[in-house]
Amino acid sequence: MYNSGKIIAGLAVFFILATLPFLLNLGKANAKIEPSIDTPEINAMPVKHCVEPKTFMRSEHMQLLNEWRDQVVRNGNRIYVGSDGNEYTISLQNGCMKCHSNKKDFCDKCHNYMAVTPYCWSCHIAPKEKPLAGPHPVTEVAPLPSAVKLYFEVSKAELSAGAARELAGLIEYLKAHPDAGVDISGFVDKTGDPDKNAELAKNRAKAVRGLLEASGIAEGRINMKKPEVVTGTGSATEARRVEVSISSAKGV
Amino acid sequence: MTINRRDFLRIAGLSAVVGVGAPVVINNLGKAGLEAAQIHPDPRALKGKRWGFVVDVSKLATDEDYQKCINACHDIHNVPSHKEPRHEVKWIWKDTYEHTFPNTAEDKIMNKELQEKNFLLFCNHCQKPACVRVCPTKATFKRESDGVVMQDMHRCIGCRFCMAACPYGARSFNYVDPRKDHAIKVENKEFPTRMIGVVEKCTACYERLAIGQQPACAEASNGAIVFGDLEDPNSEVRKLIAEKYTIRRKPELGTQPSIYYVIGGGEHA
Repeated sequence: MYNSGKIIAGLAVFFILATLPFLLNLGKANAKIEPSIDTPEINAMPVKHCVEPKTFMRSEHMQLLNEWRDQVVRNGNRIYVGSDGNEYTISLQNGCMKCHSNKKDFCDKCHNYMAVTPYCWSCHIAPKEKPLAGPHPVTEVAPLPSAVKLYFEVSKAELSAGAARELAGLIEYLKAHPDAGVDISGFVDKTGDPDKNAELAKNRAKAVRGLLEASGIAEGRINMKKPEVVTGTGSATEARRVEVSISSAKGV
Repeated sequence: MTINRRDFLRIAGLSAVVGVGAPVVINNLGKAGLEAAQIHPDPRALKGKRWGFVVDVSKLATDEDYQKCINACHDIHNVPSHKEPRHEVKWIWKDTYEHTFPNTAEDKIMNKELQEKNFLLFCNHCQKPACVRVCPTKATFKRESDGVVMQDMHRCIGCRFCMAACPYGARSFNYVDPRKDHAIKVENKEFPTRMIGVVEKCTACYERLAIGQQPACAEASNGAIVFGDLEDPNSEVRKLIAEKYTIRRKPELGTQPSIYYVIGGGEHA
């Protein structure tokens, strides 16, 4: 073969160039993209729901948005009745993005992955991105800690040794969020005298309050929330408890 | 290959059936749209057959009064204010009597005071809009329900035929990106901006009518701009037109504009 050296070298260069995109991405598995619905607006919803079920929105939102656009601009129809029977305002800026206020993590994440660039945002104004990865990422995005249950011995109102550790997460959250308050509700099991039991439930709650105050939570932020029924649910061991939960703001 | 008359006719007949039937089938296949019951207007929406305006500039005393109307519109619609005059984008603006009514400007006997005043101009929402006739994409269209001449930014290709067609200069082209150089001072987050290369104009505040509000300029005008249904004989606009002397801009062109300018008082008319 004439010029075999050049040809083989040329072939090698061609092979490398042609397969470069594959080689460069070798081993970098393309993780499945999950658009985030972690926004303050969505988190505040008692029942999380969109105008249509998630599966429908995933596959059909482009058709729905096109249909909405035409209905608003061309026919002046601005109310959409979802399959759940609720009425929704048809609007990108004043509808969709009022809940999905995280365009970067919701829209862009998927669109970039799919390499599509819808022209929505050359005219529509995207909501201001909340500083998710700002200077205080932990305090900004810390999810509301779930309620803590502290259990007690029969007819005792003394905290167990592990109580402080159980409450550590709540206390940390309260310190990071000076606006947040805390609810304390005491419960008893169903045995014994009701009057004494009510007193016992209160004492148990007071014991928890003492611990929180000792940890530096101001008294005004602690709300002694008397339960309507002091007899706790569940087995007797589970019933003898105090529930501690974050309330959204003081005095609310 | 040979084909006899019998086969030819058979094939031709079958082809004709398929050819006629296919579009019907194909059109029905693509229909996955919304049900009519799923979508309706806001119950608060203002209803009218043909929206129109009566403009009485004698109620606008100072430059500030004009500016109030202009700002009310431009602020909520994110209309950019470019430094370069040739890039100007305007939905509502003021101009002299001479420019507003060029065909009557030589009339020296007319009310001098009025001839020295400025007029507020915006889209006339004509009954026979020239812009709509020339638009190749139906981006600008006349809403059947209430006569608003709408602009669908999603469809505009920026050919500017409508600008050439409009005899009132009501349309502006985005020669530059309206979002650049802080041309929009404070964005109204409830309303979109436009992009480079599209034509925009007054849309009679369709987004406000849809939720039962008056157009922004009428609200800010202190009575100088009155908005209402021209087809309704009991509407305020009709009453004003009946009792005052009003003229429209360039009526001789046959576009039938929907803005009536008051140029005479009620007492003598």
